[in-house]
Amino acid sequence: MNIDMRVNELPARTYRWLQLNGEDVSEKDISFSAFSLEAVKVPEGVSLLENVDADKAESIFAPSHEANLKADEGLVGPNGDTAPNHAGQIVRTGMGTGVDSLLESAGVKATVIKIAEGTVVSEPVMFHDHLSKGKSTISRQVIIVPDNSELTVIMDYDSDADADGIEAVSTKFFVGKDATLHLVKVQMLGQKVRHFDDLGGVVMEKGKFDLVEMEMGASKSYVGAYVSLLGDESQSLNNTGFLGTDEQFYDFNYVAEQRGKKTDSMATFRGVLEERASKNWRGSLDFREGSSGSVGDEQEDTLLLSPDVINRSMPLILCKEENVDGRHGATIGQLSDDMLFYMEARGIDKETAKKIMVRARLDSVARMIPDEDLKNKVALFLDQIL
Amino acid sequence: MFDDIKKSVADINQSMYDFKDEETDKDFYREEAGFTKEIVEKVSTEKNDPEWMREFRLKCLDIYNNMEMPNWGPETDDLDMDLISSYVKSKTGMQGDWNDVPEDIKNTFEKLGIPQAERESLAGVGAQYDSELVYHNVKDEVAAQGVVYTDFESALHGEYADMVREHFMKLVPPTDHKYAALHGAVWSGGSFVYVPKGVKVEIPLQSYFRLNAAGAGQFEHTLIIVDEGADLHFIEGCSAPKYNVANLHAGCVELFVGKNARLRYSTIENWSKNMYNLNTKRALVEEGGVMEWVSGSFGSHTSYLYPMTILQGDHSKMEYTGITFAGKGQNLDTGAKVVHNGKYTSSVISTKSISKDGGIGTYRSSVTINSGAKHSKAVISCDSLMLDSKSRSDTIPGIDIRTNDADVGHEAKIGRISDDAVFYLMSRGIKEEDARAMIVSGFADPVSKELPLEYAVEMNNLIKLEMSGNM
Repeated sequence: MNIDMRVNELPARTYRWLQLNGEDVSEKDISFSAFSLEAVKVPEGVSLLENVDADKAESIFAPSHEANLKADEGLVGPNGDTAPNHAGQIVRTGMGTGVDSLLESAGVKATVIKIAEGTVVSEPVMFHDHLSKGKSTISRQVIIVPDNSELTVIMDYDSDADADGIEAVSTKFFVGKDATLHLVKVQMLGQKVRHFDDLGGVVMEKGKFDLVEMEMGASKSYVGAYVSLLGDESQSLNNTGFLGTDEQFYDFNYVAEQRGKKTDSMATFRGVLEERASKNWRGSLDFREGSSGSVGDEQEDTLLLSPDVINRSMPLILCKEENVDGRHGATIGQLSDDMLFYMEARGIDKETAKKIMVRARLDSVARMIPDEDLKNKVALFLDQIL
Repeated sequence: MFDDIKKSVADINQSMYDFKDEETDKDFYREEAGFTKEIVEKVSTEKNDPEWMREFRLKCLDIYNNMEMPNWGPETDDLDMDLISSYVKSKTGMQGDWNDVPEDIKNTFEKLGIPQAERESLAGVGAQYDSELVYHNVKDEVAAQGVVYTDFESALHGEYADMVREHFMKLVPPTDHKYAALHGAVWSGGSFVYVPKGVKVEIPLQSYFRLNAAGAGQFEHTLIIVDEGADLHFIEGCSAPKYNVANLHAGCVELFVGKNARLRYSTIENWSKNMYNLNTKRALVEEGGVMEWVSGSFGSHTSYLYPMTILQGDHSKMEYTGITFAGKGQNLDTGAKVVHNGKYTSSVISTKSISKDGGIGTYRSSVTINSGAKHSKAVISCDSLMLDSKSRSDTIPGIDIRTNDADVGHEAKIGRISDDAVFYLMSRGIKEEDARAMIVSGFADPVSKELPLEYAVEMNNLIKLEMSGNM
């Protein structure tokens, strides 16, 4: 099959010449050989339903979808609003409707990960996929964490060095009242693989969504997350780390849509670009009418280590509510001379100092991974690259 | 009932700008509405264009007709271009003596305080009424320094014709966007300024643009060349009475800042709230040059306004300080753009945006640091204040960095007036309305302190006007 889709659309378009309103993906003659991730570990208390029809798996989002459509009637959106392009999605995702269409075309069934209401599962559910040459995987996960429950889900993807296919992952989640979902995604694919990672979900009253994400491999990665904080006092926490080397290309789109009162969204993006790597990063805080008392904060910290890197950022704050506090900060640049001087004064040469700083940046995210084996695997992967 | 009172208060307060004079066929020439080849040719003939300009206009019209509308900014569906007249001119022509300006036009500018400002604090004034300048004057001592400040048409035919041709729409090519192309086709009026090498103009020059005719467009062109080591402060003011039909302003400002020169360009824009302000401003800065923008946007129904600076020379600098106040019925999409090409270049963008009473305020910007701009620095800070939940305030900045040898810092904040601050002021006997106005004025302070005193006072008055009736 051929893939032609527009992904990672900004919630509000800007100047066309900046070429950051979204990204066009075009892939020819792709044949998917696998349609789910391997469930490596399923702790007691977790039910895993495979090959579920998408409509059935995603029916849990229907009430919130209808409520959102009603709330948005007559809405004054931002200039260049792209929401109408995705109104048909039962739950908004970062990459958008293009991935839903791809999943339909490829006939992908869902894997539903669910626990019972009021259950806390301390051990993580773990999924893994390994690509070899000529193989591509597409998968669709729906995670349901009902009221008063807590679950951790870890997904990691890697490949043989000569793998050259696509790793396409769709993950949708529902976090109920007073519930918590910890989601960890680690991407360590080979340098010829293209990666799609589409994420979207809703968080109900006093629920919490906690995302830790590391993007380190693949030739091209398109990664999007759209978190709808629907319930009052719901929270979203996002810690993302990325490493771009060689000619790697990353295209990120993160949106925190804050609808409930006193919602809280905190996102930190830390990364490094080396050699000829390039990165588009879109981060949006979207305070909807009624989100009174909400706060949102996004921080980007990108280290640029080569004269040939391209770093592009679009940090948006959209606001239709008076009583909110939204902030964004970005620090983009190279290692400071002071830092290098400090290192050199202690006998550490410039190249070693750079490696230490890169490593420290990525380790600050990696240490949040709640699985020692995966942490070690990340360390090994970074050792090979750096 | 209460809403009616609020509305009437706001309307009365706008009256210092919202007065209008009848324009009759006897005193005014008005081109028919729409933008056709015939109309462009008639404007060109009326203005006695040189042949190259006539051809340029027709080429621009062709580009305009074949170009798409932007898909990212405020809606312009209610702007019917077939109803806009491109050219309205007083039959009296331009005067160099204030006493020779027709009485009704003179009254308009007297009410706006322009002649008084000229006497007290300006080195020269240009006053444009509809499509043409009606008055232009520069102080003798400034002219004696070799400073050229003239209406654009005179420059096009006079001693500086070659310089004008060399620079006209080179920074803002007609292919830049649809309204730049339209501007190229029907431009009329505006000013040409040339400040020779090493000349420092101690007090500012000012152009004031008044669009009095209902359903008309104003397309003035401003070209300023500040030569090596020279220094200039140029002030631009705009206003119009309010009509029930849409008016259009699609001016173009091109600024050339020479080596080690400095140009400050200040604007207080208070177009009426039926105006579509689709204006383009751009500056090119050579080695060691400094470009400073100070911008206050208060009027217009709809604005697209993002002054752009190209830091071409090494060690060149740019500073943009702006405030936008979007009230009822307004959709003001404003900000700044900067491109770093030279080494050791630096830019600072600092904006404040206030939305109230259903207004939509959007801060939109781009910072581009190209691969050759080693050791460059950019700092962006944008603060937005929401005064109620009927309004919108959006921040849409873009950053594009193509070298590692650059430092970019970006900060954006959005929030409301602190209840604690209002309570504190009220506990000291200040009425709530005054307390909120005081806090908003404080929020706008970084902009007003960059303006000459008289203009800072005007800006603060505009904020007070906007804030009154807010309670």
